[in-house]
Amino acid sequence: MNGLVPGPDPLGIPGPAWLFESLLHLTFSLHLVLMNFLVGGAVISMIERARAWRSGDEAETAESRRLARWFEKRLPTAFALTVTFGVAPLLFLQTLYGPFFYSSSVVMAWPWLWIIPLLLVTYSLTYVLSWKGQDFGGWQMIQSVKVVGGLLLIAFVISNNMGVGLRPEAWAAKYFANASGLHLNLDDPSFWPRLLHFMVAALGVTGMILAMVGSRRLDREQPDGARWLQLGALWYLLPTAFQIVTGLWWLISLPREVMMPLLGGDRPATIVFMVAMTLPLLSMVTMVFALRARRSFPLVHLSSWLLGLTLVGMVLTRDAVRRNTLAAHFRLQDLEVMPQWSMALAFGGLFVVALGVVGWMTRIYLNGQRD
Amino acid sequence: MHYPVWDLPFAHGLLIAVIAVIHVFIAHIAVGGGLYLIVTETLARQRQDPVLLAIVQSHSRAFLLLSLVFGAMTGVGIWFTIGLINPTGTSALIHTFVWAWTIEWCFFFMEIVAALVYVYGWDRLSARQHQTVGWIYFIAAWFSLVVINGIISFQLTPGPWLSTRNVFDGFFNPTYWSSMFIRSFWAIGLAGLFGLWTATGREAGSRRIWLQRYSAVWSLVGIAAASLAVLWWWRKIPETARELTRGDMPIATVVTQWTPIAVAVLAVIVILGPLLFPRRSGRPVTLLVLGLGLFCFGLGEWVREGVRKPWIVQDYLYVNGLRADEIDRFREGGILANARWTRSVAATDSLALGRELFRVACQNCHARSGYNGLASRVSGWEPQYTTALIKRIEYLRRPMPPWVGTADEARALALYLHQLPGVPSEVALPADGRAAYERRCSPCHSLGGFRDLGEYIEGMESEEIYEFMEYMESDYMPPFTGSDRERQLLADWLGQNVARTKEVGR
Repeated sequence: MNGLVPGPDPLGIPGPAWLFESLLHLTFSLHLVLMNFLVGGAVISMIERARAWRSGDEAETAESRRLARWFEKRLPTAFALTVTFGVAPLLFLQTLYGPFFYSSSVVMAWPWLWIIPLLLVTYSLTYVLSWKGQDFGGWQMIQSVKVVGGLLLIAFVISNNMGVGLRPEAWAAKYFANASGLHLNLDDPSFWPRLLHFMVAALGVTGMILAMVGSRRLDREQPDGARWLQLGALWYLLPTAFQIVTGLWWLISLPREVMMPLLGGDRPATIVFMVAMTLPLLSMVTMVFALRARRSFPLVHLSSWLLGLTLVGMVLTRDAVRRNTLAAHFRLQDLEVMPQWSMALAFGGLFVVALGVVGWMTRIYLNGQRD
Repeated sequence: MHYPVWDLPFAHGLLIAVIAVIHVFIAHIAVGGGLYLIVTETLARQRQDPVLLAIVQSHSRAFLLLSLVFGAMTGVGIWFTIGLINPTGTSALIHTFVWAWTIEWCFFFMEIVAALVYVYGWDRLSARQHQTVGWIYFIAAWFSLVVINGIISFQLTPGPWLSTRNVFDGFFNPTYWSSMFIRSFWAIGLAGLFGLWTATGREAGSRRIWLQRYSAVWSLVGIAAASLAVLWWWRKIPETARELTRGDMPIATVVTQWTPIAVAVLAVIVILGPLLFPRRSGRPVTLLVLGLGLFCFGLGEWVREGVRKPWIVQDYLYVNGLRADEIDRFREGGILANARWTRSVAATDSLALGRELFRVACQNCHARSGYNGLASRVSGWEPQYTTALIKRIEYLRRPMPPWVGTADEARALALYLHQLPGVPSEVALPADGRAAYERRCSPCHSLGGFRDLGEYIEGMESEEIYEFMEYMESDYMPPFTGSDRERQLLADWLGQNVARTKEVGR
């Protein structure tokens, strides 16, 4: 048996590795925010829908309905954008870490491919819920549960593949036992804490978004402001506090040679990690103050920025984990660089244009809204 | 050869075919449909026709579901699938064209947002804003096609890129423009077919008849212009690719012959249906033309994929993940010594060796049985004959990559193939000379067509042919490995039928 990790593509990479890394982190961070809103929104709207379905209190039911519908109407767009911002980091991941990604994908080919029907069905269901969810009966409740179930399954599969990709030492045992692509990563001690950490984060980030919308509504004296702020803060604070547990679980589940660099072994990685662990504490304290403040929006806003920075810090920490895990097999600096600067510039220019065009379309759409 | 091969019970190509054809069909509707929507909306507004405007609005909703849900998700699907089926090829396309993909992503991003704003913005935007968003959608979607076309056409005709490695040489390759016109016009044709779907969902009279004829014209213009572009493309593809459709690859030959007929049938049905007799052309006819559209599209894409064989990227990368510049290294040490994802197997265990070889060298395209299965191919041969064919496979079967294994590996692979379920262990004597010809000669020769056997044995008597079979083995020709009785049968039949027919024919 030969070394299983395929060599880097001889065609090299058409730009410096740092550039692709930066794009990977940027697009992955955006993907996470969107994914968090999608998953968190689906879960919160499902719970609110269930409350509206079960509750006898008319006022409470109406409140839950409004909140559930607010999320449900936004889920299809969030879905489309989550996928759009998911393919971009996947592209950069393949550019830099292709040998690991493709190998793990084949090792677990069937579950990986099942993402496609899952995406199709779940995305369709978000439209069904958005367009036909005005009623709060059992049928709609079932659709809402299906959406949450579909999203969790997709997350489960993606997390498996990203995990298998980081374990070349486990490939041979899996693949040579059965090459028909039916493996998962459940034997990895870091699998469950990792998945849990991502999913709980989704609730927290969505809570933050809800709190922001609530505080803005409160500012503008629009209905539901106070409730959404409080509910959002609760959805933010509780999961984020719980993240300390899931995060620590993930950390200690990592192999020692991967964990230690985060705890002093690798100074830049340690600093980023420590900052990323401190920021959410500050963010949570700020949120608590926001709830007591006369005008909550500025503090909620500050809290959200701290959370945003946390997210970037965690993305960078995750990258450090990946680099340390794969250090024995591969280093980014070994990739041959064959720059295509004119193409890179064309992309940069077009990206700015795209942001402008999308910004303009979003603006005219929102301005046209009569809330 | 570098990545693990997914061990599927069926040929990988089937998976690609299903996902790719559906995606490409919808993706083209998404492009042409964008133009259809904005042009029809403009027309409705100019005519101040609220009924037509309402039809466009309802059409746009179905269009959104088709384009975003099925188009975008199956697009991700095709990417996942090619990554599973051919990681080396996917990696080559990504490493050459990362920036092109990022550029395509920018257009895709604009396209997605524009589609959402367009569909949700009917009551929120001014007419002018709405039309502008419609144009943004179409332009972004079309540019997305323009970019992907560069990458797909590169696979068949990488052109100067092979020596320069310049991304622009690869992108604006010899078939770039013809492919772009084919795809753009097909997109318009398919948009018309999809427009028929919306039209026939309405009561006759409420603009239905007008809309059917209008959509039929879109289809016919698209189909006609795309067909012309196909002729241009045909002249631009490599001669080796065209040869595959002249017998080298029997299935490609058949499909290439049937594609224009299927397209013509489609055009005739559109003319006789929604264009001339719209009242009699309801949903069943629309379903028929949509189905035929998908069928024609599938055939066209199949030909494009088929004629590229044995390459993923012509003259650079073979379908089994072997790069052209790796052939010598592999031939020197053999496949198992050079391929990565192989199990340690005792050199004496030929069957286990063969199983490993089948997976790394064959299973990228072939299954054990069924479509593209090898069990039926080797049935009726002896392992020695199969071994001989494997060693010469690139000459005998043009769509096949070269055999880069050792002689022992060829033997091990043949042994493995011969113990597959359904392969008889004993080779029975063929019923007659014709059956012997089918078994021994027809895999590579024809009578009167491709590699005409008559030319090789012209004027020879049966006895001479019998003798010839003794020493015919060469780099290109396998030895005769059957029994003496079969050899006699075959020689007699060839001498009496093939050789003589040829002479008389002259």
